[in-house]
Amino acid sequence: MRKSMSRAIAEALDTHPNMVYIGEDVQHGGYYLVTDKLHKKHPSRVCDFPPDETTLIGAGIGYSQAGLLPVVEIPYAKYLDCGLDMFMEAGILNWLGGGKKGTGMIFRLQGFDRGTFGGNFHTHNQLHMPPGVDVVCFSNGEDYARGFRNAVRQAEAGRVVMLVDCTALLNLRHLIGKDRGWERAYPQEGEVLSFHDVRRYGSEKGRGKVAVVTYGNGVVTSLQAREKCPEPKDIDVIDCMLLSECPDGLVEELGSYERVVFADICKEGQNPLSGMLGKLNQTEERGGVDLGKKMWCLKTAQRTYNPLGTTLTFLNVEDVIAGIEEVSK
Amino acid sequence: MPVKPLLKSVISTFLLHYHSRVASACGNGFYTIGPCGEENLAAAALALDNDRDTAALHYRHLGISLMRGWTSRSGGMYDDESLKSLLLDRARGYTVSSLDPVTSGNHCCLGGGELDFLVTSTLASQCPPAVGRALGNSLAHSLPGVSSTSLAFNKRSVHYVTLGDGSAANAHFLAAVNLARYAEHRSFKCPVVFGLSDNQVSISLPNYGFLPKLLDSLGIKRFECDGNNLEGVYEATKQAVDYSRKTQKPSLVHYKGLKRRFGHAATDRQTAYLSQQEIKAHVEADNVERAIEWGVRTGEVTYSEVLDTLSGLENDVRKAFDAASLEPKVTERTAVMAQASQPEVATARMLPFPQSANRPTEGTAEGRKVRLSERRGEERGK
Repeated sequence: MRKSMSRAIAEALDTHPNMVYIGEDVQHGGYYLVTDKLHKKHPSRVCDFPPDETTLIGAGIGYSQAGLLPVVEIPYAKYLDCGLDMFMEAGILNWLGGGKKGTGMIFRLQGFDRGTFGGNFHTHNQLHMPPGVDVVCFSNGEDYARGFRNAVRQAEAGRVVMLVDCTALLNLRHLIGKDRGWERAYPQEGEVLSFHDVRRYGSEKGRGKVAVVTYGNGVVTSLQAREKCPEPKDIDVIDCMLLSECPDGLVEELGSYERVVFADICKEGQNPLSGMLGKLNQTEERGGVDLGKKMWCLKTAQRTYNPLGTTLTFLNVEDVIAGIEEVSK
Repeated sequence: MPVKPLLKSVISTFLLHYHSRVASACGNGFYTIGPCGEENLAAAALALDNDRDTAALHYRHLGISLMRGWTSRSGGMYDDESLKSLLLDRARGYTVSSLDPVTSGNHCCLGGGELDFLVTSTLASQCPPAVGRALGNSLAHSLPGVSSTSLAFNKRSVHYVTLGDGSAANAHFLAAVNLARYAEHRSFKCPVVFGLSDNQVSISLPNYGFLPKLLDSLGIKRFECDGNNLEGVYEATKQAVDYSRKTQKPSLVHYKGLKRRFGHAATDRQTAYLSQQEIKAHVEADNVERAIEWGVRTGEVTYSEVLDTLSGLENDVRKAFDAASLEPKVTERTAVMAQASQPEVATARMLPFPQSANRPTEGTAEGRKVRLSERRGEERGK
């Protein structure tokens, strides 16, 4: 996935001469090599800032106002908290001006959820989603590239888009054993994901009985959980990439299932999928899927902080299996 | 300096605040944070090139906003109609009319021009983006493949941002100055000018003489003046703006010795932390009176003319509030929700997800079988 991400960013830098990528330690390639070689190719447009997220994000806002298209990298998701007021300001500026003019920009929230360098501060799994910011999370390189293209398009039109990157997926090749199941081809030119697309991992033979709605690391976890269930073909995994609102695609998909597991990698109480439940619970006439009439449950990460050296507090395969069992009774 | 227009801006600043209090008392006004005591900062606007310099003005700096707006709107002719339209726009802000050109009735902010940037009601957060504008603009103009005419700002723009002495304690100001100084050290162009108005109090917390120490420690090029003196305010601001434009380095103007009048806002309980003598001293430190005395001393106006101007403007401001308070307010939820973001660019949905004809879905048992056999095929082919 990491290589597709680099390529997508490079592609955008090549085609948008006013795009600038700013962050901390991005010139040398970044902590996860996502910006590997980009500074060499575009020396004046891939820039290191000192480690202060307030001024990094503030600069991003100013850059956008000056007519640049900024991509602001937050090197570890936790550090967004360090610049939170400026991030909130990026989100509110459009409203504050009565909607007349946008301050389009892209945030790349790196170092999210389970990762190689552990502990709470490098595996942050809660998200701030104020109005005015579109938050998306892709589980694989193919969708990332398609989604990044959309993010660029939306930011050019004045929207603020934040892409959340799960560390554990960056270099993931295998899904089960050594199947290379998570390697993807880079998408064709012109393939662009809409915010409202979701992606179903199912069987060629038709829809299953249970839908597991998830995103990011949760997609891999859920696919692995599925294989351990008695009837994997009964379980479809839906990758819901938009987190800041309920995508149309999710409503379209869930109508076909009577059993739904929401598998959220964020901490309970601050987990994006819960924010969609109100809409999903509405009747079909009102744009929902009558969720209350289905068997459903919510699995999340624990509402605490993540200890160093263990993945104890994250959403895991057993959690998803338990969820599937709960809705299958 | 254009004496009459300056006087009119100073007087209008006071009158707008006065009427915002009246409007609030009548239930028609929703913002009463004052500019009182800081009216004479209006002269700072004349030191900016209002056609190319950007400004983000702290909420007490209504005087600067008025003078700048009037200069732009009237093309420097300072006709009365332009001023009246500005007074109406300000009144719209206070009465949250949906016709307010700055926020469409969502808030009360100074601004309205293409080169004006909005300041929220949290402190000093306007500072980092101002540094961003300064840095970003220089970068933008230097990029090949980006045409200068497509950019928002002129290549030689200076970026002015103001705050009060209370806000100087805020991390956002300190961080912004730090980045500007760092940029200077690294020889990145950063023509930002911080305008700091000093009335020695931050709502109820006096400064205790700390600000001069803080400013000394910042290491930023500094220009100082008496904030009550129109000519001094103009001179110091001009020097800072010229310095930053010429050297492309950051600077700061310290407007000293201001006295805050009538409290922070209508809700402020000044008597709880200021003595009667202190409050009386503030009442007597009347900047509008000082400005009028100055104007008369220049010989360009007489007291009798000023009296006429005052009653004329009082009438104009009252009419502006009367009109604005009758205008439609924000009443539609869908409209406010739509203002949270620029409209989404329509992107065609990808359903059904493209998968190459003979490749089963990734992550399925069938998919794995296909890939395993592909890999064996690759290995055999080597």
